[in-house]
Amino acid sequence: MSALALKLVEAPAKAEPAPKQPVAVATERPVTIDACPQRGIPGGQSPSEQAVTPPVREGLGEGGPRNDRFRDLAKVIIPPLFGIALMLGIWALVAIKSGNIPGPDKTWAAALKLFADPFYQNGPNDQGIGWNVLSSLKRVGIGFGFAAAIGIPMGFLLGRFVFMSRMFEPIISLLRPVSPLAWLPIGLLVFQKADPAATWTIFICSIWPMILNTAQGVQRVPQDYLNVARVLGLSEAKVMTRILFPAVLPYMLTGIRLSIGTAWLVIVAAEMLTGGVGIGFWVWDEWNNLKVEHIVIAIFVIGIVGLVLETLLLLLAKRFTYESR
Amino acid sequence: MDKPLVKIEKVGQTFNTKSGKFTALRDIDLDIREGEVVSLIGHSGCGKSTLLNLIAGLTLPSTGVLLCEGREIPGPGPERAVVFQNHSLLPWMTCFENVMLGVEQVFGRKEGRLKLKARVDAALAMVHMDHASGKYPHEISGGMKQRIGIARAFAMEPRILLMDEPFGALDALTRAALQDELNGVLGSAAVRPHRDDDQRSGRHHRRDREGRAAAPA
Repeated sequence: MSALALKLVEAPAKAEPAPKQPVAVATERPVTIDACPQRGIPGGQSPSEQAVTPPVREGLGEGGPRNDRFRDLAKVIIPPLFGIALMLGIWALVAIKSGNIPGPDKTWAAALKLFADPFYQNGPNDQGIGWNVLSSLKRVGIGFGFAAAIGIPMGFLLGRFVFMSRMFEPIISLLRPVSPLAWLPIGLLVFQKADPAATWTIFICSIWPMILNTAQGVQRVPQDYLNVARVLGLSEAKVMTRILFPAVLPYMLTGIRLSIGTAWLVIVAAEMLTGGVGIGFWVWDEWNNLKVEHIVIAIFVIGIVGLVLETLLLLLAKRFTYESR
Repeated sequence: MDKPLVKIEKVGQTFNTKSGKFTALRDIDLDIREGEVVSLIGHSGCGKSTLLNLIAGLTLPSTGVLLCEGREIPGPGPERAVVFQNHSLLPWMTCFENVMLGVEQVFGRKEGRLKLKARVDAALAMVHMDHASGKYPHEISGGMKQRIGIARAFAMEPRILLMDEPFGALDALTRAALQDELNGVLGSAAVRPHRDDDQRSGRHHRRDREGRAAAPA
């Protein structure tokens, strides 16, 4: 005990802490502080006591809390930076070795040029990357909107009535594993146009997670809540709006997240097949133009848009998740 | 006050389980009069909650009849309010809204918004939770949640209040405090199954006879 206090007295004298063993210091510090409530120890500095003191504690100093915050921040930021650096390194290496693939520098230069004017329009087949992304998002939005409009009520029915869920189970099990692109020709046949056909594939791929997650949510509504509803004598409409809907909402949001994630994967492939305006078509177009750096940029753009969608939906889901206990 | 509020006649309840039929209750007779407090006492698993659920109407009996004010109990209803063991507040509503949900249902047709609000406020004040009316259930403690559950049940002005070990999930100190409070506010008849340490607020104790209440068939 006194040995610890002794070090505390000493510490300020040993100027800037800048500890080199961050982990050890972080774990030891609370012990030290607790152990020595300013017990002066006037003359008790026997050699043995000094020997006991682990050298690690020398990191103790005034800048402690601030250092902690820096360290926490560093722990969050440094590993991703390493990851990104690793990716860029491998990319650069591959680019140098292959010769065809543009390296980070070339891609960056192309990106600067590309994003200088993302919203230009030179006829239907030559538009800025902003328009391409927006029209892809629009297709995803429309296709997903229809899927939600049909899938959520379907999910409620399947979750509420065993007969319905047994009735639809074979259909869903059979159709769900099918790649939505297999439905594209059917869409082309029915709608006679490329654009609605692409939206149609989005609809198909979005609807399954919507139905299944909503149904699961309805099945998992705690019996307690339904008992409350029965004891209070709530009407069906009130049970729906005040109990079932809020209880199912988190599951529905999971369904929405999965749906949109898949839809964003599928739209690129669908647009490569259908053409028109859209990020998938743009990738294919740039391949035909042999602008490989644009393809790399497109990969990043697609990834970033997907990440943003996912993050937004996660935030939304967090807002509507209730702590039940 | 001769006619019982609740009359239970030769009620039996069997459940179908994996290992065959299980008889939870057999030949239960019980009359509960207005203003009476009845505690159901028995060891764990003897069918206290089963009987309570029957009176609540959450389940229907396999044999026998349950009458409330002379009519057979067809299902749950607000005149037989239940305080659940695990409070069962809806987590997406504030305490006020949780109580309001029941009040609205019972009095919403006859009374205006202000009157309903006054009822909810009065119920919350009764359990000393008026300060938390805007809080969500996860923001308050277990004992507080149970108070809200009691307020919700009382606010509906039920004919009978059914409490299934209402304080079972609470610590002993909180439980004792709530017991005393409950004794202060009890007006209508109440049935509740209790563990031994909960008995003291019941004016009548009736013990389920073990042989009848919980004999596996």
